[in-house]
Amino acid sequence: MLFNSYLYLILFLPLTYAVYFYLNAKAWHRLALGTLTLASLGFYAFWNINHLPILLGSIVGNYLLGSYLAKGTTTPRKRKISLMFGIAANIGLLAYFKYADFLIENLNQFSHTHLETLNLALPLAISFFTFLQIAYLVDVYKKPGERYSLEAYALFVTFFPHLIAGPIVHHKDLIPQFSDLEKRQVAYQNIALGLFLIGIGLFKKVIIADTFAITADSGFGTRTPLLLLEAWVTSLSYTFELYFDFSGYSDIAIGSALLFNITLPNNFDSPYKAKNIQDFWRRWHITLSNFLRDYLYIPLGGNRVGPVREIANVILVFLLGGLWHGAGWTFIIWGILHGSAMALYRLWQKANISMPTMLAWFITFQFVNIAWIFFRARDMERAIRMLKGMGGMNGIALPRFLEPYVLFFEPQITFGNVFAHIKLHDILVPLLWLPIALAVVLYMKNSNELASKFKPNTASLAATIILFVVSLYSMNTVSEFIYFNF
Amino acid sequence: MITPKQFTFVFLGFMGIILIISMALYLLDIPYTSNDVIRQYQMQKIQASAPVNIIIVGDSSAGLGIDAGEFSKIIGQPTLNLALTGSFGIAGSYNVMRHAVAKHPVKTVIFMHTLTTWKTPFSTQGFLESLDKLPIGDMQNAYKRKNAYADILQAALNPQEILWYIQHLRGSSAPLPVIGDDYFVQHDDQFSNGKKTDPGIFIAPRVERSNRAALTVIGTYCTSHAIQCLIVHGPILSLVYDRSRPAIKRIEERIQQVTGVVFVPFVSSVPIEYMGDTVEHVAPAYKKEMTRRYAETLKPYIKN
Repeated sequence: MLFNSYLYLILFLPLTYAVYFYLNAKAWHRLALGTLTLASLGFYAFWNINHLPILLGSIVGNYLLGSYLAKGTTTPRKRKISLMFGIAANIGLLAYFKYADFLIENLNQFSHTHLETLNLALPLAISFFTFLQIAYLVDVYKKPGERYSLEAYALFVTFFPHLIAGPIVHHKDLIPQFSDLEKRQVAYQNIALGLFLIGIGLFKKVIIADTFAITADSGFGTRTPLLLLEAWVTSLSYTFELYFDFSGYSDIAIGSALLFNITLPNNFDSPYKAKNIQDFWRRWHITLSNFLRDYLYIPLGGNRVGPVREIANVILVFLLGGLWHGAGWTFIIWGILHGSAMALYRLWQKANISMPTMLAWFITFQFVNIAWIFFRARDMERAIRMLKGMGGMNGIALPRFLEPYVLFFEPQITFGNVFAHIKLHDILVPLLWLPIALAVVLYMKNSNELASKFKPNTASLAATIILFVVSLYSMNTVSEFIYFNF
Repeated sequence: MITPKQFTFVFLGFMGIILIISMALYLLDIPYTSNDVIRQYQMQKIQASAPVNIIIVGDSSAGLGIDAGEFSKIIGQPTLNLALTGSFGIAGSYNVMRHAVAKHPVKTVIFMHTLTTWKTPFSTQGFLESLDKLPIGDMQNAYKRKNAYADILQAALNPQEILWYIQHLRGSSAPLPVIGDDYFVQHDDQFSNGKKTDPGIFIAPRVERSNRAALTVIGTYCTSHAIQCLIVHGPILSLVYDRSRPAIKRIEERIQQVTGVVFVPFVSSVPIEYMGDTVEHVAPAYKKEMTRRYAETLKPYIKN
């Protein structure tokens, strides 16, 4: 089920809420949690019921193994083997569905074999629920003794606000909230704030992201090489689309959870304000960054190893982060680009060289913008074509009024018809939105900042109603969130 | 300053009112879009007309291209033209067929859609709007949605209904089209205003998977109800046809793979001076001649 659908907002969410708090009011707490788990499974199955057994199997398997590890009674060797088995099984499941065809295609290409691809449909949210559960296994391996009931564990994995696309939650942060008796009572302050956040998220997705998606889809979808301005408008449109889409999703997730008095971690903190790449990754998809840091980078040695290993670790972590997003060379390149930038930034820091703040912001923003091309393009050929367009190598068309001012002769410069390869109605509105979006991401308070100062008053009520009504009026064609693909 | 409880209840009250009005407007089925007008017109025609053996379903290319009276005379069997608009898609035509079959002794159904229909994704809204108490049937498989009832609910709770209705009341929406000569009266623009130009468009060589699936559902229905279902393309501007021949061939190959329907390999390629307000609409003055062309082509296929 999509957050940005009438069905979720008008039926699923209110109904689940009403049943959950009714059961809690009757002091049937276990039944209430069970109902919330069932509702979450229904939320998941609504998309594709065939994938439900995979999710359930993964939950039961990890729970059993986790309980075994939590006992801490067996030998360290057996426990280590069990953990390795658990991690391998989780990654194996993910690899089978997500990476098998990528491996087969590359094997066929490089060793001239003719193996059939599996053409498997990727189970929704598999990347997310796999990561949650690997973290759980590692934690109970490191600190045995912590055991949860199957109901609590199942709800931790499936709780619908975070199930599909995060934020990636930690079991220690979430499960205790389910058993907190205070959180089982209707809290109007949380409802008001939750509705406010849902309103912001919907607006970001439906009004802003989906508007930029028109240009991004048009530009990335065309087979024709784009001219300079077309390519830049396309890439910037995608940069904003992705941010408003994913942060909008996170706002709705956090707001929805808050209705149930559950606090989810923040996932974004104005990432496009970042003045270096490290700063960017502290602001973008924060819960993924934390996961990669805690469960990959630090176990690899982090910065406690020599400088060469440290840089290799950084690049490896980002490469795997890229692969986590998708099975394709474009994602690998995207990961390597970010890893290399991070490595370069660390060297730069060690050299203690300073840079004007505006220049640092500009370089960071443009690097992120250019790297997103690999994230979005369907294949390397299209990514390169887009980069060439941005470099003016596919030709430059400038508005006719600039003709008298171009003093040097450039054979690839033409005048007029600046957007020859993107339909005019696909570009006009997003083009107007670009400076607005830039101003919003740079100068406006983000959702967390607004939430921290939220007070239920007439202004915030009016704002929430307006955000909802405007979004509902624009939700005629429902579009998926980008991170549903990962 | 208001309390969080007041905040919550005022918000819920406001949204509740919006949803109740949306649903009421949906259920009242007040015609304030051109699609509402033509759908209601054709449904009334099904109910009011004398029994017919042949029906023509499809989009505006059929509505503006076929004169049912003239067609009846040539074929020798009573015929109704029940064309909707392109917004309803093939699945909309499927629903119209089912409505007509429930009321009339239909032996032959002629599906006439313009060539661009095949690349257009399945119209969920068009399908649901034309459903009108019919069972959803197997068509939900055609658009890969297992939750067709959820779609109906979504359509019923669409708050945009209010916006459209207000626009309609204020007269700020486009004026509703007028029915004349058994279908909408054409706009007096583009081709029909004396400034005929070739828009330079091509037909895409694509048949959407959902449209093929919808056609398969239609084929199954026709077979199980012993109805002869013919598929024929609507008229098209000759310049578009000439530059799109390979694409049209590709579309036809795909259609011919579907069983239960008979594809009639005929495209009425129309010179620019006979076109109406789009490259798919013939000019009103040419409607009878176009009807004769189609009737003569289809006659050998139609069973007595």
